[in-house]
Order: sequence, then structure tokens, then C-alpha cells
Amino acid sequence: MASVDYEIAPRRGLLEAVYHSIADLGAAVLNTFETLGDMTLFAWRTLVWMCTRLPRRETLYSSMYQIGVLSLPVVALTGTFIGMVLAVQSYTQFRAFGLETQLGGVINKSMFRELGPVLAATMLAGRVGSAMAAELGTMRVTEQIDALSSMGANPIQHLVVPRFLSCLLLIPSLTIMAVFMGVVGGTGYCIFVLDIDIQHYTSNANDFVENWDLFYGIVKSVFFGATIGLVSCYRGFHCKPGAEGVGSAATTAFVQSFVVIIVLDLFLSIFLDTIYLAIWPEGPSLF
Amino acid sequence: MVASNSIIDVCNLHIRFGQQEVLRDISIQVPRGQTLAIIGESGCGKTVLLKTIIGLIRPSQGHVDFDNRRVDRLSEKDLAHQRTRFGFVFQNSALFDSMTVAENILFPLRQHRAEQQAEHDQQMHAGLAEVGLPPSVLGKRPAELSGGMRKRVGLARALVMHPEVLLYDEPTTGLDPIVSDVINELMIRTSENYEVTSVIVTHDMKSARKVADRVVMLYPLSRLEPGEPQIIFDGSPAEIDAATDSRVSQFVRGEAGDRLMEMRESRAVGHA
Repeated sequence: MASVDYEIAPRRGLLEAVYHSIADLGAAVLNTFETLGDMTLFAWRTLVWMCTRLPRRETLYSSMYQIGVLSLPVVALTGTFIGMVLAVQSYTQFRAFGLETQLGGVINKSMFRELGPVLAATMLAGRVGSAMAAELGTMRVTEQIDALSSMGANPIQHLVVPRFLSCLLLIPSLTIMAVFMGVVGGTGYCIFVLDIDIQHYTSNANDFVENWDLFYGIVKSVFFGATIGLVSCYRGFHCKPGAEGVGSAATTAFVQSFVVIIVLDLFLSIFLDTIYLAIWPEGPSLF
Repeated sequence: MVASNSIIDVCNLHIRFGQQEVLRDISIQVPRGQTLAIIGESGCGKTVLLKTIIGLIRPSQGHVDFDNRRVDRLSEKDLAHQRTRFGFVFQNSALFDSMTVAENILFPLRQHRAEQQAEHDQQMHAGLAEVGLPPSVLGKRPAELSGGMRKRVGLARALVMHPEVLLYDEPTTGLDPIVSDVINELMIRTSENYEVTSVIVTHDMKSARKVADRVVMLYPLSRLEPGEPQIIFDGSPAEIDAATDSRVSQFVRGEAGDRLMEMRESRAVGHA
């Protein structure tokens, strides 16, 4: 009997491990679909409330101040340095081809189309998204959200809609600020530190950047703002109990927002380039 | 549906969160004007029952009727309207941190009543006077108040809408004996002055004896045999002292008995 036990035990262990792995994988897949469905419903309810009853003016203004105005300095600062870093990184390669006067085109195009919107969104997700998730998470844990519901008020209308609207409406301004400061930083570095001729630099920079590039960045930013608002509020609303739950909600809000922003960035870039080529089939020409 | 004198009618209620069963086959009727205390050990589902009554938690099975209407079948709009007939005093008061005391008390009025600001202010001051707080607290934030003051602000917020039913979740927990008694007195005075029906969830026997007309005791499902009813006592506060069920008398006297040994044994079984 002892030898039989010896033979069977490892097999059962292996089978069990495989069984548990499949079960865990299945649970993870189901959980992901459940979360996605729940998030979609959450987004739908937010949109319905946004269209049916706007938040009170003072709630919206307070939210806009927190989300937009207080984010301006950090967005402006990081935008400036990103513009300068772009100049530093690109200068050596461009100089090797004798194209350093074209640097402005590359820096500005990158800032308008890519770095401006993504940078503003990242700063917003880090500064505001995490704070929103932590604030709403604390409200969930301390039963303040239940208190709202028990008074016949809708928590989504009172807590989510003002934050979502603020993110949606103010991220274009933050993006414009990031782009502007990036362009100023890049231009300043090229002209004053790298000693590139100002006339050639600005002329090339102006030639390469079109109105479409500004539109391109702003369209992206609106989607990023909506993502930050929804993901952060959702994470706050579904916060687990305790200090650990609140901390986890804040971290998850930032990580998920950032991942979605990067994925969205790719698809929006493809989509917007397709539209551009449909309208102007010759396509853009950088050089 | 047959109309009854009960304003709250809990019928064969079952609540499950995933695999965990919290409430099993609970049936309680609360007549108009009665003050019912629900007592029981921590984790036996008292707060869950309270939140189910107001529709914050959906029943897994069974239903709760409020004024002869099933709470779980109400539309979102009707449920929101129905909740204005309730006042809920939360365990930790659940005052909105970002608002002042005045804004907290005014919140339900601004949400549901279209009167002038002057009338709202009048009602707010009346609510504040009812719970014995000075007007100087109105400009303060909840974080600046003591636990007892927060409870009283929570009660004032619940009272401004002149509810028909008041639900209290552990109203005296975490308070010193004198402030606890102040809250007890407030609950009695509120029931008399406003003629409200009250449901109080507590494990403070002194509070239950003083305030309640009737006491219901719930027992944790994890400690019950299959098929045993979860309500192990339903009677007047005077009757509870004479209860023959050892579990009831043990709770009333606040004696641990062999509970610590049982906890150690169940921990050992869990590890094995």
C-alpha cells in the first residue's frame, strides 16, 4: 500500500496544480470581463447623469479649480523641461547631418502631437487621478457615499459628474499649456544654449507645424481626460475597506489610467492619421 | 398585497455576499411608531439588515416592504423619493468632510426641497436646537468636532427632512457613558416629538433597554446549526433579562464564557 501511495501522491499533486492554475486563470478572465462590464455601466450612468442634470455651479467650480488650476504649474514646468530634453537628445543626430536648424520642426511637432497631450494626461493622472480615487475611496470606506444614497441623492451625479466634467473640459487647456511651455523650452535651449540661428530655427519650426497638429493633440487630450475621470472615480467607488484599500485604489487608478492612455494614444494616432490622409492624400512632409 | 399596520416588513430575507451568507430567513415587522432595537454580536449582520431596509443592499432572496411597497422593486427615482422618508444616522456619523456642519445639515433640504434659503436656514437651526448644539458649530468642519458632536450633527441632518422612520447604526459606540446617555435621551425625545418609527442597531444593552419598545437579537450564522433560526430573541426589553436561551443571557450579561476557547479551536482547525 505504501508504494501505491508513493506512486499516486505526486500525480495527484501535479493534477491539482494544473487544475488550480486553470481555475485561477478562468477566475481572472471572468473577473476582468466583470470589471469591464461594470466600468462600462459606470461610464454609461455618468454620461446619462451628465446629460440629464448638470452639477451645481459651486461644486463644478471647486472641482475645476482643484483639477485644472492647481495642475497648471506642474504641467508647465514638466512641459518646459521635456522641450529642452528633446532638444538635447536630438541635437547630436541632427548636427551630424547639418540639419540642426530643423530641430524646431521636430520638437514642436512632437510636442503638439504626442508629448504635450500624453504629458498633460500623465501629470493629471498622477496628481489628480490618484487624489480623486483616494478621496472617493475614503468616502466609500467612511460610509459617506452610503450617506448620500440614503438621503435620496445619486452619488454618481454628486461625486463623479463634476470630476469627470472638470477632467474633460480642462485637459485641453493643460495640454495647450504643456505644448506651449515645451515649445518655449525647446526654442530657448536651441537658441541660447546650442546657439542655433534664430531666424532659420523659427522659420523651419513654423513650416512644419500645422493647425491640424494642434487639433490632433487636443482631440487626444479629451479622450485622455475622460479616461482619467472615469477610471479614477470608478476605482474610488469600488475601494476595498481600510487604509490599504484606499492606497490600493489610488495606485490602481494611476496605473490603469496610464495604461489606457498609452493604448488609446496608439489607436487615436492611427485613427487621426487615417483621417488626415483621407482629407489631404499627399500626406505630411517633414523634410 | 394586504395592507398592514407595519411600516417596515422584512419577509424571509436572505443576504449573501459571494459564498458568504450573512442573513438567513429573517422576518421582522415594525409597526408605526415603535422603537425596535436590533442587538447581536459583531458580524451577525445587523448593519447589513439596516442597509437592506433602506435599499442600499439588495436582498439575495426574500424582500423588504416599506409602507406596503417592495423596496427592491422600486425604480431608481421612486427609491430616491422613498429614502426622503427615512433618516439614517451612521455609525461614524458619515458627515461629508469637504462641507461645513451647516452645509451637511442643509444638504438633504437643498437636494429635495425647493423652498427659499431663509426657510432652509430656519429648519437647520431648528434641527440643531433639537440635538442641543450651539450655532457656533455651523461653520466648523466635521474633523473639528468631537465624536458625540458628530453623532448629534448626524442626527440633526437626519431630522431636517422630518422623516417617518429613523435608522440608527450603533449610535452610542465609541462614546463615553455620559455622551452615550445624551444620545439615548435624544433618541427618546426624537421618537416622542416627531412620532417617528425607529430601528436601532446596537450592542449596547443599556441603550437598548432605555430606548427600545422591542428588542430583536440576531445570532451569527457561523455559530448556528443548519436550519436553526437566526433570530434568537424577539420581545420587550423587560423580557430579555428573563430569557431562558443561554446565548441571549450570555450576551445580555456580556460574558465571554468559553468563547475564547472556541476561537482557539476554530483557529487550530483552520490551520490544519
